Amino acid sequence: MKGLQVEIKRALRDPQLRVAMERFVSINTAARSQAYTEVDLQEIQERVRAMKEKALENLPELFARFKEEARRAGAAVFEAASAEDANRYILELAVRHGVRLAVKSKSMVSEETGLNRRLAEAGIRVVETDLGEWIVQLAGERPSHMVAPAIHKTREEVADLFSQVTGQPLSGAESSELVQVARRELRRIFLEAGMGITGANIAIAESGTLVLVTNEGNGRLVTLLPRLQVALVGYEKLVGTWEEAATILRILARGATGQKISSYVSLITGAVPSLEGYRQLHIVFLDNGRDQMRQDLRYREALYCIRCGACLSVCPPYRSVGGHVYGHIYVGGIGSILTAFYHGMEAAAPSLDLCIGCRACVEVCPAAIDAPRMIVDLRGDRVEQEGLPATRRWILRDVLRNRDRFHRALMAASWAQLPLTRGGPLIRHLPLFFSSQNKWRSLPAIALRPLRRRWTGERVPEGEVQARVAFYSGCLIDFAYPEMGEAVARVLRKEGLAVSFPLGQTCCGIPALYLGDRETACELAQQNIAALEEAGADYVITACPTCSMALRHEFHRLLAGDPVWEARAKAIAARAYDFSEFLVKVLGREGSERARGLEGRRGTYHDPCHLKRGLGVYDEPRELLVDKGLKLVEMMDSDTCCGFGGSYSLSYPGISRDILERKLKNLEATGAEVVATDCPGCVLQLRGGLDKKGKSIQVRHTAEILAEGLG
Amino acid sequence: MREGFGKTAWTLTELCTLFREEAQRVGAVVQEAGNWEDAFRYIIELAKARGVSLVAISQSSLPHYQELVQRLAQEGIQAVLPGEAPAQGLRRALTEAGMGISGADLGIAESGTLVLVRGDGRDRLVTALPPLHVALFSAHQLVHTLADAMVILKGWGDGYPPAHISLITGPSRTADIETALVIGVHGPKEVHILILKEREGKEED
Ligand code: SF4
Repeated sequence: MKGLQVEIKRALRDPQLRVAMERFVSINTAARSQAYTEVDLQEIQERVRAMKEKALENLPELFARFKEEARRAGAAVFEAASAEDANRYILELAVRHGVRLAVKSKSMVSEETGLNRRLAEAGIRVVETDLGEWIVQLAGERPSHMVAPAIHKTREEVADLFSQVTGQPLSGAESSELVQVARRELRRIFLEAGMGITGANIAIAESGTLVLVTNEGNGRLVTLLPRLQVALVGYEKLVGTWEEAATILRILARGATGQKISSYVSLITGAVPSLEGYRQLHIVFLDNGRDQMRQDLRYREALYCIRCGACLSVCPPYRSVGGHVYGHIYVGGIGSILTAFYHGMEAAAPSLDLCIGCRACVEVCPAAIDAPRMIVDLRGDRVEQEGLPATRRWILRDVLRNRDRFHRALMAASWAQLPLTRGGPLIRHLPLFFSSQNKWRSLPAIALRPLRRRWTGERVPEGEVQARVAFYSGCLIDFAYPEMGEAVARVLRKEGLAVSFPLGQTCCGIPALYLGDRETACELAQQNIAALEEAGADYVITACPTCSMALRHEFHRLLAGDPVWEARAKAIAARAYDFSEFLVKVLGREGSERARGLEGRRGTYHDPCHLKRGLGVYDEPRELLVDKGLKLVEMMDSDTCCGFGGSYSLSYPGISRDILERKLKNLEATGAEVVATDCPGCVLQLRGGLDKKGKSIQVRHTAEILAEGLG
Repeated sequence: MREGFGKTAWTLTELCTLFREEAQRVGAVVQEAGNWEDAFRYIIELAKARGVSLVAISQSSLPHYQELVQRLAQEGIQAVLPGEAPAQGLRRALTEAGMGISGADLGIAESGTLVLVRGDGRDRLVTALPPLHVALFSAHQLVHTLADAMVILKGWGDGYPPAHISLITGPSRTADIETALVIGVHGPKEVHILILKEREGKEED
């Protein structure tokens, strides 16, 4: 883990990398968003998922069909169980045909197997022909992005590398001149090469056809010039039909570069006669952990990935540190999952920790792959295999699980901090719960009187009781922001609801779950379910979207397999709502007395990740705020993570801070006096950052704003 | 086999317009030609303008290619035909040709895409190696979507798909250096598409 921290620091301090990443992200994101407006993404996601699921379910049959058809069309098909099997087959083939030089069109699978190195050891030179891959190869590096491998390199660095190839100085050259150098140099190599190596974007079973996509045209030259053709294909690339291939093509380029279709799509069935007449095509299918992934239904959906890279540009940690920090060929959230299966848990462990859980990737993925969920599951598997580090184990198992001990520890912390807070609402040097603190963000004081001490009995409305609700506060509201809980109660009472605070409630367990401690998370889920059942309310209301997500989605997932507990968890889930969602969806807005109070104030809204992408709630708080009179000015990327991520901001403060910086820039650009949001964690992060910068912009929970002026 | 052609809610004129818009958007030059003669004239003008003295022609995808060869010869432009040249000379000629000329078997209107089916690897190289690619096809070969094209391609020859189908959309491009779009990496830097309004000769039907 030390290595990872060092890599992160280096990346965060690399000014060129930062400029390059920002440029790439803004251009790529704009192009993709535009391209996505032309399609019904949700419909495509459903179609791709159903299609991929069917293909994986029938994979042995699909492969058998592919093999038969491809052989009939004159190709050789080889089944490689491991990376070494694949490399050996290709090496022997090259040796048999006296190949000295091979050209390769981008193939991630070949990087996965380390093919270049293996062939080089035998004296066979492999030249990458995708421009980005060639740059990375010349630099002796790894690709940092699956679609744009060399985005981390500046033009000057590329010019240096190319100068070494040509022997001519190229400094100051424009990108277009550098591209011409590549065209010239690689053209010679294409014409000399004895073997062409490609991957495949799709393999169509019904006709034994490989589909190869490029923009530069190198894929066509690699498959048309050398006499000997090798395609290295992961089994997950198989689909049944040409129509299914069309579905993938339709979204692949849109997700990758915002094009409707890539410049070149080659559909290759068998050996194609070319310059010197008939040639050979060898198709090598690689398993290397794929079947294990396919068989484990928790991870099967990782095989839906079509490698479009859409998830990378929207991944806040990736955006901050780039691809190299992930340590292996497959980068980003999906990459760390693939690495876990292709290269083993140990190889994947550091990169699994990099996910902040914001779920931005799920939203843009053409297959809506739930990478964050799988990452949490893998962390859990890892803890089951290796156990927890000692301190973490003590905090999670001995403190967090024991409600009284946990709460006493928090209270002790609140007294311990006294001399430092000087009575101010924000303190500058204090442990956030149990960890050491960072200089870039002020933290809230732990409340001297937490919500659970303030709240006795049921808070009843003035008139008739319309319904009874139990408030599930979560730790942050309970111990750091009790005023948010008070605000929720005031608003709900005004709506005619009786609101109780079940004292048996405790931490939702998400922090434990995200650290891989499923056992503690299960235990806490049960404690909370029991406490909420006991309250006997009609609804359970939360004002922390992470807690809402826990109640709605995680508890029953965690307890699945135990029919009694699962049913109890589902019963709670059916009654659980996040605050603004409840007000709009359940209580409705008609005849509401909520309106008024904020007339003329300029405000903006920050979407908490788990509210928008965990619960699908984003219009509701806006409607409520506008009703209240707020003049809403949207900020850019309002639904991009603020960088909090709970303990993430303590484990990876550098990344957390960098993400926050981007958020604050967008926020300040709106000129808003107040930022509303619906998550105490986001409030902590945003307030902390603004306070450190000496900005007077207010950060308020929507509930606090709505409660203004209510008795 | 060709029954699917033209059977779409879109009129040919609409498909033509859509194709042109989309192909132009990705940097192709699209021109309508009333007949073959117009098309040949365009090609010759273009070759002269670019100083091209050697062209490669994918004869198996292009009807009337012999006429084109003659017309080019009259202008002093030499043509190499992959189907006729010996392998060794061909490799050289293809890399030296300043222009590659081919037909297209389908045009996909929604994305401005050329679909090349007939011919073999040598025909594809005509469209891959020279810096300039000129493609000709008749308006009635336009289909609306990629999915429409896939259905036709799949059943192209007795259920055996052709060995190497190329879908080409605009010139070769990259954004691998500093995310700056540059046209013309390994494939053609220029793509000119001529859409013939006149239906192809009888030999096709
Ligand atoms: S996970 Fe989804 S978005 Fe990311 S590369 Fe794979 S298919 Fe594309």
